[in-house]
Amino acid sequence: MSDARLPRVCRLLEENGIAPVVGVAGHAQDVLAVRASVSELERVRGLAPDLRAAGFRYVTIELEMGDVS
Amino acid sequence: VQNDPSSQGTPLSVDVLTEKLIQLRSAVRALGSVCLGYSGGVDSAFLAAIALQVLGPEAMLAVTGRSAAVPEAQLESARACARQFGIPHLEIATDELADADYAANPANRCYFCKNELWRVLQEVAARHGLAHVIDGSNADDAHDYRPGLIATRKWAVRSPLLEAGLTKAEIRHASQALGLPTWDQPASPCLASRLPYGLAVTTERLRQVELGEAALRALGFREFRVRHHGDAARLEVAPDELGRAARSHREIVIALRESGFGRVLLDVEGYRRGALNEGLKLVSLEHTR
Repeated sequence: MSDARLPRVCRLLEENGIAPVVGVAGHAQDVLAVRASVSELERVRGLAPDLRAAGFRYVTIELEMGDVS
Repeated sequence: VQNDPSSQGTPLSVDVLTEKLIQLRSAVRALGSVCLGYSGGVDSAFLAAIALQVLGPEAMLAVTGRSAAVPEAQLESARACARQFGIPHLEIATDELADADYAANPANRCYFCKNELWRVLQEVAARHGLAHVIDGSNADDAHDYRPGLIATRKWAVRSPLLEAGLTKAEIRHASQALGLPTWDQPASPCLASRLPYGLAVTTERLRQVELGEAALRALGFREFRVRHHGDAARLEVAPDELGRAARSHREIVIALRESGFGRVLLDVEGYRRGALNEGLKLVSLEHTR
């Protein structure tokens, strides 16, 4: 995990019961991509201000075909 | 006092609106003849209808700039509105993508786009013997981050809606009264607005966004943006449609991958106007004059 922002992000997610599987996207590396089920949308949304405060402009859930909502 | 039809909760005074509309008609009449920058959106459609009423079809022309940054759906909407109301309408190609300053996508990209648009429209106005070029900027735009307004001043483009002090909510209300189909149309800035500043504007990227948004519209979403982040699409949908987006996530992934995006990201905070301006410091744009 080379991105210095991610440990804080993972800690926040874990503390709130969300599996800390994350990535970074965007040409400016300013998009946090949480690899959670879309059923976690509201919980991730609730954490968005804290996640942005870790150094991201946007907080997203990475959508996958195989996601079970 | 009535409720604001744009649902922004701002009270709207009919007396104030009536006075502003009198001012608007008077100002348009004083211009004599006009060439209007017409996107077919709420503001320019309303101004086109007023100019047609006040000046007649011989003394006004609505001109739509056509480029890769303008989605086909918007062009069709502009055409349909012009047809329905008998507005003289001309489409003309603009070539802002050939301008390296525009293509580099700086924070004042809109200045370079409008610079090209108004250059072309001044030529059209001269060719058709029209005295003034006008645009649909409104009073709210004066308080927003709008580098395009600098180009408007450079090319001496008049903004009758802004000059009359008409706000977006008032224009929507008056548009509804005129029977314009655009009265409740969502804001529709150009496709380049979906690319974060610094990510080069290319025809291919604009096409990806256009395809993706057309597919989302076909899925029934009304207020949303497909933001281009290189290999990833970041989807912003209106907060009240986030639940539906979650339920439709498979269809969304298919649609956006078919549009050329490798990754599909759903923004958990939803659509907000001007999201790419978040965190942008307002800087002096005097150097672009």
